[in-house]
Amino acid sequence: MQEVVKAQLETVYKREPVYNSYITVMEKEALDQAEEVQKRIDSGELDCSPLAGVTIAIKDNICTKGTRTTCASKILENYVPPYDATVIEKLKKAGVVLIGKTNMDEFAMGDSTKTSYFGASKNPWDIKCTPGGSSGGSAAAVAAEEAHVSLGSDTGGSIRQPASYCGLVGIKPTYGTVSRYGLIAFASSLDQIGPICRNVPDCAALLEAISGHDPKDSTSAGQKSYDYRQALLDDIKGMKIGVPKVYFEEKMQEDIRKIFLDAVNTFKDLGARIELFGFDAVKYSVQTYHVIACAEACSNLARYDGVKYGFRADNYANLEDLYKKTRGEGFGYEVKRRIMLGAFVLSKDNFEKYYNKARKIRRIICEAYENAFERYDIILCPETLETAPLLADIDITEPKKSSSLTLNSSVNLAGLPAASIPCGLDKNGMPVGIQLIGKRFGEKDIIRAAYSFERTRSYERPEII
Amino acid sequence: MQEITSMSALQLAENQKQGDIRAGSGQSPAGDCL
Repeated sequence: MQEVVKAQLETVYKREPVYNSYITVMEKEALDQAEEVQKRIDSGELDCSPLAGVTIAIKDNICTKGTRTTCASKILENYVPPYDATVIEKLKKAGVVLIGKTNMDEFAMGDSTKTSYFGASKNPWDIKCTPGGSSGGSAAAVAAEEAHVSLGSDTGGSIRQPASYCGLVGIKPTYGTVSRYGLIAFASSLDQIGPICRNVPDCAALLEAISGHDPKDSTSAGQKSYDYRQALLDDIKGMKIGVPKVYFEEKMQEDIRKIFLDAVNTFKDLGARIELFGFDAVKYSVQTYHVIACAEACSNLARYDGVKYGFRADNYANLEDLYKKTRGEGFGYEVKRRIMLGAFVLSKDNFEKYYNKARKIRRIICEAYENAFERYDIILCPETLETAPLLADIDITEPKKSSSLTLNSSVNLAGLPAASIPCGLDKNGMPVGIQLIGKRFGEKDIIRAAYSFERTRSYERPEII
Repeated sequence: MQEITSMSALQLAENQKQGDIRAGSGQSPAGDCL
Protein backbone atom coordinates (compact mmCIF):
# COMPACT_ATOMS: atom_id res chain seq x y z
CA MET A 1 0.00 0.00 0.00
CA GLN A 2 2.79 2.42 0.88
CA GLU A 3 4.43 1.65 -2.46
CA VAL A 4 1.25 2.74 -4.20
CA VAL A 5 1.05 6.00 -2.27
CA LYS A 6 4.75 6.73 -2.75
CA ALA A 7 4.43 6.10 -6.50
CA GLN A 8 1.42 8.39 -6.59
CA LEU A 9 3.17 11.16 -4.66
CA GLU A 10 6.25 10.88 -6.92
CA THR A 11 4.02 11.34 -9.95
CA VAL A 12 2.26 14.30 -8.31
CA TYR A 13 5.51 16.11 -7.50
CA LYS A 14 6.86 15.45 -11.00
CA ARG A 15 3.77 16.70 -12.83
CA GLU A 16 2.42 19.44 -10.59
CA PRO A 17 4.73 22.17 -11.93
CA VAL A 18 3.03 21.61 -15.30
CA TYR A 19 -0.63 20.92 -14.46
CA ASN A 20 -1.26 22.76 -11.16
CA SER A 21 -4.04 20.29 -10.29
CA TYR A 22 -3.56 20.58 -6.52
CA ILE A 23 -3.73 23.41 -4.03
CA THR A 24 -2.51 21.23 -1.15
CA VAL A 25 -0.73 17.86 -1.36
CA MET A 26 -1.36 15.73 1.75
CA GLU A 27 1.94 13.81 1.79
CA LYS A 28 2.20 12.99 5.49
CA GLU A 29 -1.49 12.24 5.90
CA ALA A 30 -1.44 10.00 2.81
CA LEU A 31 1.57 7.98 4.01
CA ASP A 32 0.08 7.60 7.52
CA GLN A 33 -3.24 6.55 6.05
CA ALA A 34 -1.49 4.05 3.74
CA GLU A 35 0.06 2.33 6.73
CA GLU A 36 -3.26 2.11 8.50
CA VAL A 37 -5.11 0.89 5.38
CA GLN A 38 -2.50 -1.82 4.82
CA LYS A 39 -3.14 -3.13 8.33
CA ARG A 40 -6.88 -3.15 7.66
CA ILE A 41 -6.37 -4.96 4.33
CA ASP A 42 -4.14 -7.55 6.05
CA SER A 43 -6.70 -8.13 8.79
CA GLY A 44 -9.45 -8.70 6.21
CA GLU A 45 -11.46 -5.73 7.47
CA LEU A 46 -11.59 -4.20 3.98
CA ASP A 47 -12.41 -7.38 2.04
CA CYS A 48 -15.81 -5.99 1.06
CA SER A 49 -14.54 -2.54 0.19
CA PRO A 50 -13.92 -2.35 -3.59
CA LEU A 51 -11.85 0.83 -3.34
CA ALA A 52 -9.53 -0.04 -0.44
CA GLY A 53 -6.05 1.34 -1.12
CA VAL A 54 -7.11 3.60 -3.98
CA THR A 55 -5.78 7.18 -4.07
CA ILE A 56 -8.23 10.04 -4.34
CA ALA A 57 -8.01 13.79 -4.98
CA ILE A 58 -10.61 15.94 -3.23
CA LYS A 59 -11.98 19.24 -4.52
CA ASP A 60 -10.89 22.00 -2.17
CA ASN A 61 -14.41 22.98 -1.15
CA ILE A 62 -14.91 19.70 0.77
CA CYS A 63 -13.84 19.94 4.42
CA THR A 64 -10.95 17.76 5.57
CA LYS A 65 -10.15 17.75 9.27
CA GLY A 66 -6.68 19.18 9.92
CA THR A 67 -5.98 19.95 6.25
CA ARG A 68 -6.66 23.42 4.89
CA THR A 69 -9.73 23.83 2.73
CA THR A 70 -9.46 27.03 0.73
CA CYS A 71 -12.26 27.04 -1.89
CA ALA A 72 -9.43 28.47 -4.03
CA SER A 73 -10.04 31.82 -2.33
CA LYS A 74 -7.78 34.25 -0.51
CA ILE A 75 -10.50 34.60 2.11
CA LEU A 76 -10.08 30.92 3.15
CA GLU A 77 -6.40 30.59 2.23
CA ASN A 78 -5.44 29.34 5.69
CA TYR A 79 -8.73 27.88 6.89
CA VAL A 80 -8.26 24.46 8.53
CA PRO A 81 -11.60 22.73 9.21
CA PRO A 82 -12.04 21.09 12.63
CA TYR A 83 -14.14 18.29 11.11
CA ASP A 84 -14.39 15.97 8.11
CA ALA A 85 -17.22 16.23 5.58
CA THR A 86 -19.47 13.16 5.62
CA VAL A 87 -18.08 12.03 2.25
CA ILE A 88 -14.54 12.16 3.68
CA GLU A 89 -15.58 10.06 6.69
CA LYS A 90 -17.13 7.51 4.33
CA LEU A 91 -14.03 7.39 2.12
CA LYS A 92 -11.70 6.90 5.08
CA LYS A 93 -13.91 4.11 6.37
CA ALA A 94 -13.74 2.48 2.91
CA GLY A 95 -9.92 2.59 3.00
CA VAL A 96 -9.53 5.22 0.26
CA VAL A 97 -6.34 7.29 0.64
CA LEU A 98 -6.56 11.07 0.31
CA ILE A 99 -3.68 12.44 -1.78
CA GLY A 100 -4.56 16.12 -1.83
CA LYS A 101 -6.98 18.97 -2.27
CA THR A 102 -7.56 20.05 -5.84
CA ASN A 103 -7.69 23.39 -7.57
CA MET A 104 -11.02 24.87 -8.60
CA ASP A 105 -12.68 28.13 -9.52
CA GLU A 106 -13.01 30.39 -6.47
CA PHE A 107 -16.03 29.14 -4.48
CA ALA A 108 -16.85 26.98 -7.54
CA MET A 109 -17.84 30.09 -9.50
CA GLY A 110 -16.49 29.63 -13.01
CA ASP A 111 -15.91 27.04 -15.70
CA SER A 112 -12.16 27.13 -16.29
CA THR A 113 -10.30 27.34 -12.91
CA LYS A 114 -9.15 30.77 -14.05
CA THR A 115 -10.93 32.43 -11.11
CA SER A 116 -8.79 30.42 -8.65
CA TYR A 117 -6.62 32.50 -6.29
CA PHE A 118 -3.93 29.84 -6.85
CA GLY A 119 -3.76 30.18 -10.66
CA ALA A 120 -5.43 28.07 -13.34
CA SER A 121 -4.93 24.33 -13.81
CA LYS A 122 -3.84 22.98 -17.21
CA ASN A 123 -5.59 20.39 -19.33
CA PRO A 124 -3.38 17.26 -19.62
CA TRP A 125 -4.58 16.82 -23.22
CA ASP A 126 -3.14 20.21 -24.16
CA ILE A 127 -1.63 22.43 -21.52
CA LYS A 128 -2.61 25.55 -23.44
CA CYS A 129 -6.26 24.63 -22.78
CA THR A 130 -8.45 24.78 -19.69
CA PRO A 131 -9.37 21.52 -17.93
CA GLY A 132 -12.81 23.09 -17.40
CA GLY A 133 -14.38 24.04 -14.13
CA SER A 134 -15.18 24.50 -11.55
CA SER A 135 -13.83 21.03 -10.62
CA GLY A 136 -10.98 21.50 -13.12
CA GLY A 137 -8.21 20.44 -10.71
CA SER A 138 -10.05 17.21 -9.86
CA ALA A 139 -10.40 16.35 -13.56
CA ALA A 140 -6.82 17.34 -14.42
CA ALA A 141 -5.45 15.26 -11.51
CA VAL A 142 -7.20 12.09 -12.71
CA ALA A 143 -6.41 12.64 -16.41
CA ALA A 144 -2.73 13.31 -15.58
CA GLU A 145 -2.66 10.18 -13.36
CA GLU A 146 -1.95 12.28 -10.27
CA ALA A 147 -4.76 10.36 -8.54
CA HIS A 148 -6.81 7.31 -9.45
CA VAL A 149 -10.16 8.96 -8.82
CA SER A 150 -11.42 12.29 -7.54
CA LEU A 151 -14.38 14.09 -6.05
CA GLY A 152 -15.84 17.25 -7.50
CA SER A 153 -18.98 19.26 -6.85
CA ASP A 154 -21.59 20.25 -9.41
CA THR A 155 -23.81 23.34 -9.17
CA GLY A 156 -24.35 24.00 -12.89
CA GLY A 157 -22.13 21.43 -14.65
CA SER A 158 -18.94 21.66 -12.58
CA ILE A 159 -18.34 17.89 -12.56
CA ARG A 160 -19.62 17.03 -16.03
CA GLN A 161 -17.95 19.79 -18.07
CA PRO A 162 -14.37 19.23 -16.73
CA ALA A 163 -14.85 15.47 -17.09
CA SER A 164 -15.80 16.06 -20.72
CA TYR A 165 -12.87 18.44 -21.39
CA CYS A 166 -10.41 15.92 -19.88
CA GLY A 167 -11.78 12.72 -21.47
CA LEU A 168 -13.17 11.31 -18.19
CA VAL A 169 -16.40 10.03 -16.69
CA GLY A 170 -18.17 12.34 -14.23
CA ILE A 171 -21.44 11.79 -12.41
CA LYS A 172 -23.61 14.45 -10.79
CA PRO A 173 -25.95 12.47 -8.51
CA THR A 174 -29.60 13.21 -7.77
CA TYR A 175 -29.92 16.08 -5.27
CA GLY A 176 -29.96 14.45 -1.83
CA THR A 177 -28.12 11.24 -2.80
CA VAL A 178 -24.76 12.39 -1.42
CA SER A 179 -24.54 14.31 1.86
CA ARG A 180 -23.56 17.98 1.53
CA TYR A 181 -22.44 18.12 5.18
CA GLY A 182 -18.95 19.61 5.01
CA LEU A 183 -19.28 20.86 1.44
CA ILE A 184 -18.67 24.60 1.59
CA ALA A 185 -21.90 26.00 0.15
CA PHE A 186 -22.17 27.97 -3.07
CA ALA A 187 -25.86 27.48 -4.02
CA SER A 188 -27.38 25.08 -1.52
CA SER A 189 -30.39 23.99 -3.59
CA LEU A 190 -28.18 23.10 -6.59
CA ASP A 191 -24.87 21.77 -5.15
CA GLN A 192 -24.06 18.03 -5.19
CA ILE A 193 -20.79 16.15 -4.66
CA GLY A 194 -19.93 13.48 -7.22
CA PRO A 195 -17.12 11.32 -8.67
CA ILE A 196 -14.74 11.97 -11.57
CA CYS A 197 -12.94 8.82 -12.78
CA ARG A 198 -11.30 7.23 -15.82
CA ASN A 199 -14.12 4.73 -16.42
CA VAL A 200 -17.72 3.97 -15.52
CA PRO A 201 -17.08 1.05 -13.10
CA ASP A 202 -14.73 3.22 -11.00
CA CYS A 203 -17.36 5.97 -10.95
CA ALA A 204 -20.10 3.54 -9.92
CA ALA A 205 -17.96 2.15 -7.09
CA LEU A 206 -16.98 5.61 -5.84
CA LEU A 207 -20.56 6.88 -5.99
CA GLU A 208 -21.64 3.81 -4.04
CA ALA A 209 -19.03 4.57 -1.37
CA ILE A 210 -20.14 8.19 -0.81
CA SER A 211 -23.94 7.87 -1.16
CA GLY A 212 -26.46 7.39 1.61
CA HIS A 213 -28.74 9.19 4.01
CA ASP A 214 -27.02 11.53 6.45
CA PRO A 215 -28.88 12.97 9.44
CA LYS A 216 -26.39 15.87 9.43
CA ASP A 217 -27.77 17.07 6.06
CA SER A 218 -31.48 17.92 6.19
CA THR A 219 -31.74 17.70 2.38
CA SER A 220 -30.27 14.20 2.32
CA ALA A 221 -32.62 11.52 0.98
CA GLY A 222 -32.78 7.86 1.98
CA GLN A 223 -32.91 5.17 -0.71
CA LYS A 224 -33.41 1.43 -0.37
CA SER A 225 -30.31 0.55 -2.36
CA TYR A 226 -27.12 2.27 -3.44
CA ASP A 227 -25.72 -0.79 -5.23
CA TYR A 228 -24.74 1.09 -8.38
CA ARG A 229 -22.23 -1.55 -9.52
CA GLN A 230 -25.14 -3.94 -9.99
CA ALA A 231 -26.20 -1.77 -12.96
CA LEU A 232 -22.94 -2.68 -14.73
CA LEU A 233 -24.31 -6.18 -15.35
CA ASP A 234 -27.36 -5.13 -17.38
CA ASP A 235 -27.65 -4.23 -21.08
CA ILE A 236 -29.79 -1.47 -22.59
CA LYS A 237 -31.96 -3.49 -24.99
CA GLY A 238 -35.35 -1.77 -25.18
CA MET A 239 -34.22 1.28 -23.17
CA LYS A 240 -36.11 4.40 -24.28
CA ILE A 241 -33.80 7.34 -24.91
CA GLY A 242 -35.03 10.86 -25.67
CA VAL A 243 -32.85 13.38 -27.52
CA PRO A 244 -34.01 17.02 -27.08
CA LYS A 245 -34.19 18.86 -30.42
CA VAL A 246 -33.62 22.20 -28.73
CA TYR A 247 -29.90 21.61 -28.18
CA PHE A 248 -29.30 21.27 -31.92
CA GLU A 249 -30.45 24.87 -32.34
CA GLU A 250 -27.48 26.05 -30.23
CA LYS A 251 -24.26 27.11 -31.94
CA MET A 252 -22.27 23.88 -31.67
CA GLN A 253 -18.77 22.92 -32.85
CA GLU A 254 -19.37 20.94 -36.08
CA ASP A 255 -17.30 17.87 -35.14
CA ILE A 256 -19.13 17.65 -31.77
CA ARG A 257 -22.41 17.45 -33.68
CA LYS A 258 -21.00 14.65 -35.86
CA ILE A 259 -19.49 12.71 -32.92
CA PHE A 260 -22.76 13.07 -30.99
CA LEU A 261 -24.80 11.69 -33.89
CA ASP A 262 -22.34 8.75 -34.11
CA ALA A 263 -22.93 8.14 -30.40
CA VAL A 264 -26.71 8.19 -30.93
CA ASN A 265 -26.27 5.49 -33.61
CA THR A 266 -24.16 3.43 -31.19
CA PHE A 267 -26.97 3.51 -28.62
CA LYS A 268 -29.35 2.41 -31.38
CA ASP A 269 -27.02 -0.48 -32.27
CA LEU A 270 -26.95 -1.49 -28.60
CA GLY A 271 -30.71 -1.99 -28.71
CA ALA A 272 -32.02 1.33 -27.34
CA ARG A 273 -35.02 3.08 -28.87
CA ILE A 274 -34.15 6.68 -29.75
CA GLU A 275 -36.64 9.50 -30.24
CA LEU A 276 -36.20 13.24 -30.85
CA PHE A 277 -38.53 15.43 -28.79
CA GLY A 278 -39.36 19.09 -28.13
CA PHE A 279 -38.00 20.46 -24.85
CA ASP A 280 -38.41 24.22 -25.06
CA ALA A 281 -38.68 24.82 -21.29
CA VAL A 282 -34.91 24.40 -20.88
CA LYS A 283 -34.30 27.45 -23.10
CA TYR A 284 -34.69 29.62 -19.99
CA SER A 285 -32.53 27.51 -17.71
CA VAL A 286 -29.34 29.63 -17.91
CA GLN A 287 -31.11 32.85 -16.86
CA THR A 288 -33.04 31.01 -14.14
CA TYR A 289 -29.86 29.37 -12.92
CA HIS A 290 -28.04 32.71 -12.67
CA VAL A 291 -30.78 34.34 -10.58
CA ILE A 292 -31.15 31.39 -8.17
CA ALA A 293 -27.43 30.58 -7.89
CA CYS A 294 -26.41 34.20 -7.28
CA ALA A 295 -29.19 34.73 -4.73
CA GLU A 296 -28.13 31.65 -2.77
CA ALA A 297 -24.44 32.54 -3.08
CA CYS A 298 -25.10 36.03 -1.75
CA SER A 299 -26.71 34.51 1.33
CA ASN A 300 -24.17 31.70 1.81
CA LEU A 301 -21.11 33.92 1.48
CA ALA A 302 -22.35 36.50 3.99
CA ARG A 303 -20.56 34.53 6.71
CA TYR A 304 -17.08 35.53 5.46
CA ASP A 305 -16.71 38.78 7.36
CA GLY A 306 -13.25 38.59 8.92
CA VAL A 307 -14.68 37.93 12.38
CA LYS A 308 -15.49 34.23 12.62
CA TYR A 309 -12.77 32.65 10.49
CA GLY A 310 -10.64 33.10 7.40
CA PHE A 311 -8.81 36.16 6.11
CA ARG A 312 -9.07 39.48 7.98
CA ALA A 313 -7.94 42.83 6.49
CA ASP A 314 -5.03 44.47 8.32
CA ASN A 315 -6.05 48.11 8.60
CA TYR A 316 -9.59 49.08 9.47
CA ALA A 317 -11.23 51.97 11.32
CA ASN A 318 -14.29 50.25 12.79
CA LEU A 319 -16.43 47.11 12.45
CA GLU A 320 -18.15 48.18 9.25
CA ASP A 321 -14.80 49.07 7.72
CA LEU A 322 -13.47 45.63 8.76
CA TYR A 323 -16.33 43.90 6.90
CA LYS A 324 -15.86 46.03 3.79
CA LYS A 325 -12.08 45.69 3.61
CA THR A 326 -12.03 41.99 4.45
CA ARG A 327 -14.60 41.13 1.79
CA GLY A 328 -13.19 43.62 -0.72
CA GLU A 329 -9.65 42.23 -0.41
CA GLY A 330 -10.57 38.59 0.28
CA PHE A 331 -12.93 37.82 -2.61
CA GLY A 332 -11.98 37.78 -6.28
CA TYR A 333 -13.77 39.56 -9.12
CA GLU A 334 -16.21 36.79 -10.12
CA VAL A 335 -17.31 36.08 -6.54
CA LYS A 336 -17.96 39.78 -5.90
CA ARG A 337 -19.90 40.03 -9.18
CA ARG A 338 -22.18 37.16 -8.19
CA ILE A 339 -22.68 38.44 -4.63
CA MET A 340 -23.76 41.81 -6.04
CA LEU A 341 -26.11 40.17 -8.55
CA GLY A 342 -27.56 38.06 -5.73
CA ALA A 343 -28.08 41.12 -3.51
CA PHE A 344 -29.78 42.86 -6.44
CA VAL A 345 -32.30 40.09 -7.17
CA LEU A 346 -33.07 39.64 -3.47
CA SER A 347 -33.64 43.34 -2.78
CA LYS A 348 -37.18 44.43 -1.87
CA ASP A 349 -37.93 46.07 -5.23
CA ASN A 350 -36.58 43.22 -7.35
CA PHE A 351 -37.52 40.10 -5.39
CA GLU A 352 -40.84 39.50 -7.20
CA LYS A 353 -39.50 40.51 -10.60
CA TYR A 354 -36.42 38.27 -10.57
CA TYR A 355 -36.14 35.76 -7.72
CA ASN A 356 -39.77 34.68 -7.50
CA LYS A 357 -40.09 34.57 -11.28
CA ALA A 358 -36.97 32.37 -11.45
CA ARG A 359 -38.50 30.01 -8.87
CA LYS A 360 -41.64 29.71 -11.00
CA ILE A 361 -39.61 28.96 -14.15
CA ARG A 362 -37.63 26.40 -12.18
CA ARG A 363 -40.94 24.64 -11.42
CA ILE A 364 -41.80 24.67 -15.15
CA ILE A 365 -38.41 23.14 -16.00
CA CYS A 366 -38.94 20.40 -13.36
CA GLU A 367 -42.38 19.63 -14.83
CA ALA A 368 -40.94 19.49 -18.36
CA TYR A 369 -38.44 16.86 -17.15
CA GLU A 370 -41.18 14.93 -15.32
CA ASN A 371 -43.25 14.85 -18.53
CA ALA A 372 -40.24 13.73 -20.59
CA PHE A 373 -39.45 10.92 -18.15
CA GLU A 374 -42.97 9.55 -18.53
CA ARG A 375 -41.86 8.62 -22.06
CA TYR A 376 -38.11 8.03 -21.71
CA ASP A 377 -35.74 6.19 -19.39
CA ILE A 378 -32.91 8.61 -20.05
CA ILE A 379 -32.28 11.83 -21.98
CA LEU A 380 -29.18 12.09 -24.16
CA CYS A 381 -27.47 15.30 -25.31
CA PRO A 382 -23.97 16.65 -25.99
CA GLU A 383 -22.11 17.63 -22.80
CA THR A 384 -20.65 20.87 -24.16
CA LEU A 385 -21.01 22.93 -27.33
CA GLU A 386 -17.23 23.12 -27.81
CA THR A 387 -14.14 21.24 -26.65
CA ALA A 388 -11.77 22.75 -24.07
CA PRO A 389 -10.97 26.36 -25.08
CA LEU A 390 -7.53 27.92 -24.87
CA LEU A 391 -6.83 29.43 -21.45
CA ALA A 392 -5.58 32.57 -23.19
CA ASP A 393 -8.99 33.05 -24.86
CA ILE A 394 -10.90 33.06 -21.56
CA ASP A 395 -11.53 36.50 -20.08
CA ILE A 396 -13.03 36.11 -16.62
CA THR A 397 -14.06 39.77 -16.46
CA GLU A 398 -16.35 39.33 -19.45
CA PRO A 399 -19.04 36.80 -18.58
CA LYS A 400 -20.46 35.04 -21.64
CA LYS A 401 -23.35 32.66 -22.04
CA SER A 402 -21.34 29.64 -21.02
CA SER A 403 -21.66 26.59 -23.25
CA SER A 404 -21.52 24.19 -20.32
CA LEU A 405 -24.30 26.06 -18.53
CA THR A 406 -26.56 25.85 -21.57
CA LEU A 407 -26.50 22.07 -21.52
CA ASN A 408 -26.06 21.44 -17.82
CA SER A 409 -27.85 23.94 -15.60
CA SER A 410 -31.40 22.63 -16.13
CA VAL A 411 -30.28 19.30 -14.62
CA ASN A 412 -29.25 21.05 -11.37
CA LEU A 413 -32.44 23.12 -11.30
CA ALA A 414 -34.47 19.89 -11.49
CA GLY A 415 -32.15 18.04 -9.06
CA LEU A 416 -31.66 15.13 -11.48
CA PRO A 417 -28.71 12.75 -11.90
CA ALA A 418 -26.52 13.05 -15.01
CA ALA A 419 -23.28 11.58 -16.28
CA SER A 420 -20.74 12.88 -18.74
CA ILE A 421 -18.88 10.18 -20.63
CA PRO A 422 -16.18 10.44 -23.32
CA CYS A 423 -17.27 9.60 -26.86
CA GLY A 424 -14.44 10.64 -29.16
CA LEU A 425 -11.88 13.29 -30.08
CA ASP A 426 -12.35 16.42 -32.17
CA LYS A 427 -10.12 17.40 -35.12
CA ASN A 428 -7.52 18.84 -32.74
CA GLY A 429 -7.40 15.65 -30.68
CA MET A 430 -9.36 17.10 -27.74
CA PRO A 431 -11.95 14.94 -25.93
CA VAL A 432 -15.67 15.26 -26.61
CA GLY A 433 -18.28 14.16 -24.06
CA ILE A 434 -21.94 13.21 -24.12
CA GLN A 435 -24.39 13.68 -21.30
CA LEU A 436 -26.89 11.10 -20.03
CA ILE A 437 -29.64 12.53 -17.80
CA GLY A 438 -31.69 10.20 -15.61
CA LYS A 439 -34.91 10.26 -13.63
CA ARG A 440 -34.77 11.33 -9.99
CA PHE A 441 -32.70 8.58 -8.28
CA GLY A 442 -32.21 6.99 -11.71
CA GLU A 443 -28.42 6.69 -11.30
CA LYS A 444 -28.57 2.98 -12.16
CA ASP A 445 -30.16 3.72 -15.56
CA ILE A 446 -27.45 6.18 -16.53
CA ILE A 447 -24.66 3.90 -15.24
CA ARG A 448 -26.13 0.98 -17.22
CA ALA A 449 -26.31 3.07 -20.42
CA ALA A 450 -22.91 4.70 -19.84
CA TYR A 451 -21.15 1.37 -19.29
CA SER A 452 -22.80 -0.24 -22.32
CA PHE A 453 -21.59 2.71 -24.39
CA GLU A 454 -18.12 2.81 -22.82
CA ARG A 455 -17.46 -0.77 -23.88
CA THR A 456 -17.90 0.21 -27.54
CA ARG A 457 -15.03 2.72 -27.32
CA SER A 458 -11.39 2.27 -26.37
CA TYR A 459 -10.07 4.37 -23.48
CA GLU A 460 -8.11 7.33 -24.79
CA ARG A 461 -5.46 8.89 -22.57
CA PRO A 462 -3.45 12.07 -23.07
CA GLU A 463 0.27 12.04 -23.69
CA ILE A 464 1.54 12.95 -20.23
CA ILE A 465 4.42 15.41 -20.04
CA MET B 1 5.66 2.94 -10.91
CA GLN B 2 3.87 4.24 -14.01
CA GLU B 3 1.78 1.07 -14.11
CA ILE B 4 0.45 1.73 -10.60
CA THR B 5 -0.70 5.26 -11.30
CA SER B 6 -2.34 4.40 -14.61
CA MET B 7 -4.36 1.42 -13.32
CA SER B 8 -8.11 1.66 -12.95
CA ALA B 9 -9.16 2.16 -9.32
CA LEU B 10 -11.05 -1.13 -9.00
CA GLN B 11 -8.18 -3.04 -10.56
CA LEU B 12 -5.66 -1.44 -8.21
CA ALA B 13 -7.74 -2.24 -5.13
CA GLU B 14 -8.26 -5.84 -6.21
CA ASN B 15 -4.57 -6.34 -6.93
CA GLN B 16 -3.62 -4.91 -3.55
CA LYS B 17 -5.94 -7.35 -1.81
CA GLN B 18 -4.30 -10.17 -3.75
CA GLY B 19 -0.92 -8.83 -2.59
CA ASP B 20 0.17 -8.16 -6.16
CA ILE B 21 -0.26 -4.56 -7.16
CA ARG B 22 1.42 -5.11 -10.52
CA ALA B 23 -0.65 -8.07 -11.66
CA GLY B 24 -3.25 -6.05 -13.59
CA SER B 25 -4.24 -7.24 -17.05
CA GLY B 26 -5.30 -3.75 -18.17
CA GLN B 27 -8.85 -4.99 -18.75
CA SER B 28 -11.85 -3.41 -17.07
CA PRO B 29 -12.16 -5.23 -13.77
CA ALA B 30 -15.90 -4.69 -13.22
CA GLY B 31 -16.83 -8.31 -13.75
CA ASP B 32 -14.27 -9.57 -11.24
CA CYS B 33 -15.29 -7.13 -8.55
CA LEU B 34 -19.04 -7.55 -8.61
